[in-house]
Amino acid sequence: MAKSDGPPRGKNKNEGKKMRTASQGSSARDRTTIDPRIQVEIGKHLRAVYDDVINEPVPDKFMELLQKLEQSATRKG
Amino acid sequence: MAAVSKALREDLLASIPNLRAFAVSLCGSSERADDLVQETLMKAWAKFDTFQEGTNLRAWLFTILRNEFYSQVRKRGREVEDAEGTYAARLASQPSQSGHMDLRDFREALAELPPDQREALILVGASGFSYEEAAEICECAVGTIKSRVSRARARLAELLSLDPGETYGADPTSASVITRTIA
Repeated sequence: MAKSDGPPRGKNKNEGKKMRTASQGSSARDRTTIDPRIQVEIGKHLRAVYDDVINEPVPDKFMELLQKLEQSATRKG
Repeated sequence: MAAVSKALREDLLASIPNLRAFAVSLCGSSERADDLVQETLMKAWAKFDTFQEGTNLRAWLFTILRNEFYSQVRKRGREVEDAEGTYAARLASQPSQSGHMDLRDFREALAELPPDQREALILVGASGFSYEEAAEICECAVGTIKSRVSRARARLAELLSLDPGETYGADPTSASVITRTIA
């Protein structure tokens, strides 16, 4: 994470100001456009939440269900 | 029904983790999500003959799951009120396996989004669908998905106080590290 990402304080004050102006400029064009770095951060969190479930082992009942469906299809066919 | 090809069955199996993750994001609890996935698999199996092999199986399954979810919501009536009332609590209390990152605030913020925005954001931002695929799954215009996704992002940024001009970062630990670094 870059230093300029920090709060505008001390000698970094101007950097912080510049960044704020930039973000205001883009929100004037489109109210729903947000800083790309925030988009990245949201994306990371979103995938972390999602991947928590993805990484869980598939419960046995789904394997059993598919086997059952397959058996009934075989019997019919 | 006609015999399901081995490749298709393998693909079906491989889609289960993704279906579960989407289902949890829709209904907020893993228990309900698993019922929903089970129902989806049975529905998909029953109408596999309508699926054109070679087209996007995952999008097809997601569409079935989503339709099943909303038809359950419509059927359940009173239960749904409860579901809406406790959705936030359930989603926020889902256990996290990624111990390195505190995701509780994020889950809470996600749970506060209107369902249509949350759904669009998940499909595009986590499930990896294109805007076009997400629009197909949600049966709406591509522009609608785009606007839901940007509104969802803007709302999350607001809820999590992710102001680009202020301290950047969702978790207080890294924020304090940055503050110390530049102080």
